[in-house]
Amino acid sequence: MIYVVDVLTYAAIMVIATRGYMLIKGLGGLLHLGHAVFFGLGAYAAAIASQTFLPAGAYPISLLCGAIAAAAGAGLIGWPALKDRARYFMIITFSMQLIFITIVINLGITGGPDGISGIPKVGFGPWVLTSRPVNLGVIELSASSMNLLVALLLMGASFLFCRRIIESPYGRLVRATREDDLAVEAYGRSATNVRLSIFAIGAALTGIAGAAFAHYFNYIGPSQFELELVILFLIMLILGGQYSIVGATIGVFVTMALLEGLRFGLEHYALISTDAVAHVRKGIFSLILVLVLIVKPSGLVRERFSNYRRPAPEPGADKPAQAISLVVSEPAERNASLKPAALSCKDLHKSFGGLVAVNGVDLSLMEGKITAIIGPNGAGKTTVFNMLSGFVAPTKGEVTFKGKNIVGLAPPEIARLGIARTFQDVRIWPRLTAIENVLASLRDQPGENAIRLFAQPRVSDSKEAENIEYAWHLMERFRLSEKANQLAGELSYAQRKMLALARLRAYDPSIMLLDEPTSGVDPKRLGEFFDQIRGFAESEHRTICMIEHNMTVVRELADWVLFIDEGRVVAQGTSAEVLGNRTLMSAYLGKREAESV
Amino acid sequence: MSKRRYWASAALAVAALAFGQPASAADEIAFGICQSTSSGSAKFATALWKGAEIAIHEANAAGGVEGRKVVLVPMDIGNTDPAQARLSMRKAIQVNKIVSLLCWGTNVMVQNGPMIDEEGILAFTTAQGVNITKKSKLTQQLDAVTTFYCRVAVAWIRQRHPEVKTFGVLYVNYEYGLELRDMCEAEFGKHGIKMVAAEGHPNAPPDLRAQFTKIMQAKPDAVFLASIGGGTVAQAIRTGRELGYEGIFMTHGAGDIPDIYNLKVAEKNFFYAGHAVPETAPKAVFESAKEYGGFVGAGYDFAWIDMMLARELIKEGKPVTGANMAAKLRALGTVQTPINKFTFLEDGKTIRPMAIFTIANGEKKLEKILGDEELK
Amino acid sequence: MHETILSILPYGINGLALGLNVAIVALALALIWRTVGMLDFGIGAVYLASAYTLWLAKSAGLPLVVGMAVAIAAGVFFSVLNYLVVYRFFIKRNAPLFVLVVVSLSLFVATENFVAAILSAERFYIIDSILLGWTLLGTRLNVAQIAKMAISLITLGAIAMFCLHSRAGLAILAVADNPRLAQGMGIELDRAYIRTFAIAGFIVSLAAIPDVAESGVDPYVAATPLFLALAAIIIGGLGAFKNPVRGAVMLGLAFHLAVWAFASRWQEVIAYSFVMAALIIRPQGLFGGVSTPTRP
Repeated sequence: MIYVVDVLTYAAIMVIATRGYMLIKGLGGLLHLGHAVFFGLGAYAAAIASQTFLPAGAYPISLLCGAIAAAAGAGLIGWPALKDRARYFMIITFSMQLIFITIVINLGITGGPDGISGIPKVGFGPWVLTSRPVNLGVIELSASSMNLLVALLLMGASFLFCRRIIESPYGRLVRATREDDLAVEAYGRSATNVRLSIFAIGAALTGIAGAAFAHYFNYIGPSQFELELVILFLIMLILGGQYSIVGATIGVFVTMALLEGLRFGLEHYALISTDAVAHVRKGIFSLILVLVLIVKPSGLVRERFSNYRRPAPEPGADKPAQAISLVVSEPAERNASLKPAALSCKDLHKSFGGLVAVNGVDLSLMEGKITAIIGPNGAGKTTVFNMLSGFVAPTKGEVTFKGKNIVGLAPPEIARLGIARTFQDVRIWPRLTAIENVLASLRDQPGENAIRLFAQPRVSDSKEAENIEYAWHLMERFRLSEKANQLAGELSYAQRKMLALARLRAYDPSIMLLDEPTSGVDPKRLGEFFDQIRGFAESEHRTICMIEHNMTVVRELADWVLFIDEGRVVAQGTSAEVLGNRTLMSAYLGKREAESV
Repeated sequence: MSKRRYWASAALAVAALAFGQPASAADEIAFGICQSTSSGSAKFATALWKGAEIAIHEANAAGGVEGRKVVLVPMDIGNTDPAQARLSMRKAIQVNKIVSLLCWGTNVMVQNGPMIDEEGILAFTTAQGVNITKKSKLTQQLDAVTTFYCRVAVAWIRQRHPEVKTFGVLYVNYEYGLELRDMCEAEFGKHGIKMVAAEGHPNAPPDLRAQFTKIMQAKPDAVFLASIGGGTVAQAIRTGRELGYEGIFMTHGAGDIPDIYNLKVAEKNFFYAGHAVPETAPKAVFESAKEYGGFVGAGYDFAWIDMMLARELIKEGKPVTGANMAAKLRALGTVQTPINKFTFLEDGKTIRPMAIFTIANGEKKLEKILGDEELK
Repeated sequence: MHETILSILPYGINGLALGLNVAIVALALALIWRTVGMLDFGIGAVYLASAYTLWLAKSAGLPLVVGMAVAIAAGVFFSVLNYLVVYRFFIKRNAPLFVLVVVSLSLFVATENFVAAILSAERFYIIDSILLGWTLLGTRLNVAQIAKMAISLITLGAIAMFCLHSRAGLAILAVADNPRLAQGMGIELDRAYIRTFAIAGFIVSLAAIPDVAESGVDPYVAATPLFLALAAIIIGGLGAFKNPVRGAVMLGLAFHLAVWAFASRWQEVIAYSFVMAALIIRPQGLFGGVSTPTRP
């Protein structure tokens, strides 16, 4: 029956658009309220292109035009919307949709309020769909069935495309950015660029759906891309489960079934007067939505996480995981004082408004050495780290790395130089699995770049396989293998702290800034942390600086200690010197504690 | 559960809904009427439905059309969205087996014209766009087109308000409002009445003061309100009067709803062109029109004409299909319903009586019915 | 020059009136956004409830003043009801902002449509003669417009005073800034929220009543004020409560001055381009402020 075929065709096209929405909202975590605009941009681009320069039978090119138009729209909107860590994203995208309609109604090229009609039907090269049945050799398909077939093929292709994206290193990076964009920047990636890219990709996919719709319906007009459509997309996405591509598919079909079902149900079985059917249908639909959200707030289908298989153990001994280090390190020298500092800062100042947080701090970090920074809360220690890693700009002073002043560089740039950090509040990516946390941090991932992912699939895939193997080594080294495929957010606190170290190590920086790496960890487990951190410095010759409150840790690990108070370095020396300074320690820890140090 | 199973179940669900429903029984005749949730159409959509219902009940009470029961099928067109309309219409055609439908919306009708022809359905429309019937062979106007509305208005102006030499237009910035503005400029111009101001407004304007201030600067003797639906008309009249405009207000069928009947401010210097429901019309229609507006008559006419055509076809032993009904309709040419006399032309255009109404005592007051001779 | 000023004056004054009208709903939206952290489209439903109550009261023969009081009560009641019956459920489960937006939008759409189904889409009038008015600087303002302007300014002042000087108000602000801390200090979240919704409902009914008295009520009257209010918040920002009011006034002026300067058919384009430009230049609002607050 043509009616059913039509409904399915429309649904298939909406599935493609909803998948684009899923990429933006579910994968990318961007609260996007203007999705109808991308659909509309795709539709209008296809319509205008088909009427101006495209020959008949150029359907694929028309789809491409739709994709480009929508992606361009995303770029245009994305730039202001993603400023300031995308805080205003929701509002901006919502108003984008208010404005789109107004502009479209008033421009000549879009046909104004009349819209554009006579958009050609589907056609590939010499063959163009007409209203006559199509003979495919084995079967004969009516025009509507042909439309459905094309729509289903597109839907299938979009599924493969989305799945590739989601399961790729790029998809992983997008999810990491969704979870915690600061952490992403700390490991050398620009969160804004990642977000912009997924926004554009999701938009492009939706633009293709819009173009497909234009060629299917052969007419588009402004009334079709209004708030109603935005709400419909929202519903389809949320109903299905926004974190799942399968969910996006199901959400569409369930919504359409509901809408069409209501169409039937209300006329045949209603107790309401038939002239109110349209209103009641809309009203009931809205209420059902609320009910569904009450019962299943995360939608019908939950997120699926990749299960990484452990590589088979190599025949032979259980080799201790040797760090395949990318750091070209020189053998440790006896005479450390002759070596230049790996990272140093001079006269570092920071004021926040009237509050002076850091008031002139100098420090030098030596390769292969562990420097500890201690001091009371609020002394400015983390602010120093933030300045060293680029997250905060110093009010005065300079930070030197390999002879160059790195003040003013963005955090990802500084990270890429080889300076990486952990965070006081851990900041692992909770909805990535443990091994994914490590994988996401690795530096050499061609598959992380969406273009390379599709242009050089073999390179991306083989490198990913290598990386997975390496990640398992790290998981074993940090004793997290059992938890590799578990969500990082479900790990115990100590495990998360260890994971943070593993993630840092995976990034392979020459300089490691550890912000309270052992705080809150059970004293019995401290030994593991000591081993790892010491290993970084001694075996791997990295430069370590850590902020610590636990004097045991300081005593055990630190080669050099700085005591910072009220934004200034009050004392420095070996751990014995500083910790042995009774006056200092009494003031800091209180008399009794000082005695036990 | 694999994705394939999900697809299958979803598809099954839809199919079950489609096929599992009892289609209209073979001995029923079904007509479809559009319904919309957008603020403009919602107001007269009810009137159309009520009118058609009266006709259907009358007929069914008397045994139906040659023994066959007549049913009405609602078609939800959402926000007057052509794509939604296509789905609704398809469903009504294929599942409910309607043979005729009544709908509105320029884009809705134009974009679904080919489908209507393909499925062989006789479509009536109350959309007033002049080009609607060009795209479809089986679509017939039930209402006057924009040109006629303007012609009726200027005819009345010349009769009752000959002092009017200039006029302004307040129009909704949609294809429909633009067409009315252009047609009225032409029709009024034919009689030497010049359009001195034309201001557009969005579909649901927060207020019309800005537009009115500008219109009043040109000091027109009369203002034509070319809006979609009735809500804006009332707003415009109030705003204009408040700002001190004392000239004539006139509008088209958008004024033919209770929103306007109840508007005290409309009782002076205001008229609209609409459909007459004479006292000789069936009482139920007459009463209903007071409550729901003049489009009740149009709904009644639609159902009455359809049933008449069906009856004729059955008597002739021909199948009741939309194509046959259309052929019969054009063959008959002139049709006298209990309310109006129509002349249905081959090209889909229709000549029908229009009337001028003013508002008095919370009701519409018929001033004059203008027949085709006066309007040619 | 003199002529230009004279000709622009009516647009300026009417624009100001429209702006202050929109400001009232914007204030209600802003209040809920800042305290509860959600964009409450359900305010549209509250607007409708208040509007129809006024009409029902008048149809029942009650004097206008009594009707207004009942309508205000209805506004408060429905707003709190929305929270108690629907929103609280989701808030307690830490539902994401997204879901809350969808839920409130659904509530609004459902209300609009059920009202249309039950009471019909017809417009009913409260006062059907021309409202009293006065001419100010060559522009006529009617009593409803003036009432709305006054209400807007008074409400703004009242909210400022309430929030900054009363215990309950300070509690609401505290909850807005840091819900967990507020809770830790013994401020009961639920009660603060109820109060917030009650106040918002009160404010919205103050906007609905003059509107409806002037133009009548039908199921669709709430949509425009709601979206204009949202646009006002976007333009103005949320830092201080006077910001959405400023945003609303600028929007109202934009709507009217666009007609004065260009053709009226560009009215919407210009006004919304203004919104867009404001967003691009200063997404936090022209006057600064918080956007999506953190939710507990």
